[in-house]
Amino acid sequence: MFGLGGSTPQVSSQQKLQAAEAELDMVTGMFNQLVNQCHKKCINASYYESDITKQEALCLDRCVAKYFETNVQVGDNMQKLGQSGALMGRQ
Amino acid sequence: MSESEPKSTGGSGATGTGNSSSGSGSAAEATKKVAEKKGWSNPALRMMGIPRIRLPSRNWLIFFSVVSVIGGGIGYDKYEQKQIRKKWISEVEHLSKIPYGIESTPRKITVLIAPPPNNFLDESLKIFRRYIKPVLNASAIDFKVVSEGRQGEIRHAVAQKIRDLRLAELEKSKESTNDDNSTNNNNSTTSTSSKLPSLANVSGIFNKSTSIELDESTINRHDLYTAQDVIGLYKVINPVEVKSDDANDQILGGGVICVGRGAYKEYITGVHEGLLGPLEKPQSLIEEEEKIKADKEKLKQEAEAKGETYRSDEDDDEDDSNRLPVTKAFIKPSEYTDAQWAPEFSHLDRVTNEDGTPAIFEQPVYVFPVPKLTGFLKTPQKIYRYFTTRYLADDYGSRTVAIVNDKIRDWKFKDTMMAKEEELDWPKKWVETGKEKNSEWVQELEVDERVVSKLRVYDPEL
Repeated sequence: MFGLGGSTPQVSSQQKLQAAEAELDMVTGMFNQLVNQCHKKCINASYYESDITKQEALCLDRCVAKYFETNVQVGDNMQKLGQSGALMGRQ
Repeated sequence: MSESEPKSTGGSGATGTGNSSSGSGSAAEATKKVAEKKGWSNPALRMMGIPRIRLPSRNWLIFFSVVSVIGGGIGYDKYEQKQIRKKWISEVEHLSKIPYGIESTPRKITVLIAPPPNNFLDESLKIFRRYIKPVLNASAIDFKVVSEGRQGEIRHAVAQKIRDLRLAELEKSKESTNDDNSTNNNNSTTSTSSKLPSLANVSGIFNKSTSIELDESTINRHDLYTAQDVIGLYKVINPVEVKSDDANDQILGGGVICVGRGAYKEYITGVHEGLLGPLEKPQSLIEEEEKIKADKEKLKQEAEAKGETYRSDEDDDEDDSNRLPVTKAFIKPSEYTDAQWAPEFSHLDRVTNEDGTPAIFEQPVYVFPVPKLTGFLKTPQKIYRYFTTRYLADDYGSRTVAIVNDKIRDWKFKDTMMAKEEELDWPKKWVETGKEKNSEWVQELEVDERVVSKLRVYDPEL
């Protein structure tokens, strides 16, 4: 359509594309989860203000940082498990 | 009152001795008296099968009253604590309700927590969690907790932070002198060309007629074009630069809260060590450490030769034995007076971290004592304190509010005694072994005028 389409034929292997799509899905999924969770947790649903309050800002900061960190840690550990084969052995 | 046991209604003459005061009553009357049981009932209740309502026996009454008095005491105290917490939270709540932009982060307090002597870190954490943290959270103040499992960890962390800052400052001053010497020719040429998209590369992809066989394995897509070039969108908005509120207010920003007298002592000695001590680990200390390590290794080998497992008396836990010992102070308190003030910092200006927040020793400090009693003989005192924890909650709440509201004054000499009342509760045996081992907790807190004149403290009495 606009340049991107033109360049797709050059990617010969379908697998690479799939992997990229999967990764994009994962990242978008995680981001959406994060927004949902932190919104539910931090933002007061009665909306007194159009801006966020200091309390909410602090809560969001912490929430996002925590979420990312946990995500990275879990990802690392899962990878380690996957590599050592412990996960496959249990299945 | 009447102890008569109505076993047989027939023998009424024998049983009616105490009850029938009117003399020889008729048989029917006596039977009625005897049949009447203790307690209270009602025909309607009786019809429903509800047994007679009466007081339990004497022993049960004693038991129930003791249980309810103790339970009520605990419950009342907990309830009062909750009310007190609510009171102090509502005191500072307005601070968290203000609209707040995304370009700044709230004030951040460093919390140093040390375990009470001969006890677990959890005891001090409890104090923080119950009485301090709710108020900080309610006032939208961020905090970072630094805790220690062994003596000296907080001191080392504080000192290392200051040393790192000094090293960075040293680096900066070196660079600035280099920059002055070299000419600034390079700046003008590079600025314009680099930011424009490389159109020459992009055109090759748009133009299909020129069939360039790109080998995907050798050329990275990012080298050819970026998403921006393809879609034609460019970032107009610069990413928001987040700045801490502490950086905007050098006087009120930040803060250091110590939980436990030991944490406070370590903080003060750590600041001294960082500002007056050398930047690198002194040679004598390295040698000393190596000697200790060698000794330990030797003992271990000897023990293994005998077929025993070696355990030094310092490491009580098994998993601790592999941990490195806490680094000793780079400077002793006795050397403070001869030591030179950190040459990297000016004594007059306020020293800041890289993000503009005041350096840790520029932030005001406060200490909460950890009232923890140990020992069997202290049991009555422990019980009394347990039932009156609400006073502690109230006290600590008011102190935390003072910290939140930035009640600051300059350091006075009496501040070396802050939370010293806690030391009276320290177990005597523990203090003795501490003195033998040259622990920094049991020694008098030594301060140097140059360092102390920089410090400021929170004072709830202001």
